[in-house]
Order: sequence, then C-alpha cells, then structure tokens
Amino acid sequence: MHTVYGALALAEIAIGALVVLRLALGPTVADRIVALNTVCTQAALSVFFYAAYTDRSIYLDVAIWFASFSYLGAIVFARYLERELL
Amino acid sequence: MTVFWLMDYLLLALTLGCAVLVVRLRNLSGAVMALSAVGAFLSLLFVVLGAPDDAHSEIVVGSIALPVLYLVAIGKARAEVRDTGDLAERERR
Repeated sequence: MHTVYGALALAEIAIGALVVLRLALGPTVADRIVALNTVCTQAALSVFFYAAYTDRSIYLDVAIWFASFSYLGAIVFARYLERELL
Repeated sequence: MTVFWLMDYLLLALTLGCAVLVVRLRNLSGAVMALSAVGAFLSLLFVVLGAPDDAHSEIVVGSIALPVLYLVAIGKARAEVRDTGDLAERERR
C-alpha cells in the first residue's frame, strides 16, 4: 500500500513536468499563470502522497503552505495582470 | 528506496529545466513565472531530501516573494528588453 503512495507522488511530479511544458509554450500570460498555479497544486498533492509514503506527518505542513501560498501568488499575479503592469 | 531516487532525479531535472527556461524565455513575465516554478520544484526537492523547514522558507521566499518582487520591479521599470542582439552588441563594445 505504501508503494502505491510513492508511485502516486511520482505521478504527480510527472504531471507537473507536463504542466511545465505548457508554461514554456503558453502564448499568453494567463496560460502561464494557470500553469504555475497547477504546478503548485501538483506539488502540494505530491507532498501529501510523499507524507503518506514515508509515514511522517511533518511533511503535511509543507503541503498546507504550498496550497495557501500558491493561492496568494495567483492572486498577486492576477492583480498585476489586471493593472497591466506586465 | 527506488521511489526516492526516481523523485530525486526527476525533481533535479525539472529544476534544471525551469532554470534554463528562465534564461531562454523572451517574455519577461513568463521568465518570472518560470522562476517561481524553480522555487516550487526546489522546495519539493527539499521535502524529498528530508528538510521540511527549508522547504517552508523556500516556498515563501523562492516561490512567492522573489517572483513578486521581480514583477513589481519590472512593472515599475517598464523595461522593454526584446532586442538581445543589440544588447549583446553594446556589451561587446
């Protein structure tokens, strides 16, 4: 069962690699903001599964920080996109 | 144990790829977002290597605060760095 959690953490990182491809190719700024937010979400999920894989609950803290601060970053990027400072 | 090594090498490759992307992207805001992705993957690497406290500070500083600082600086300067060939010419003289 724990190996399944490890494989899931690996799969989330692989999905993150695909999203990085969109971040590289994305023609508009909005594409890149959404790709960055998705990268942070996949990283949080990967940390969750890695915490379940290694049986260490201290890693869950990192996942919570990832989730909350990716939200904050998306808000700030969207604000600067709205004011057209980019 | 093989999961650990796979995650290690995958995250190293992704960090390196995003760092190359920061240099190669022509769009300034896109480069800033690639920098934020570098911070995210580096903090994930810290978690895999077993240092969650370093991962905390890397998320806050490297993934959010530093790219936002760059965004504010670019927005205030409104620099149009598009013609890198001209810039290279100026460097050569």
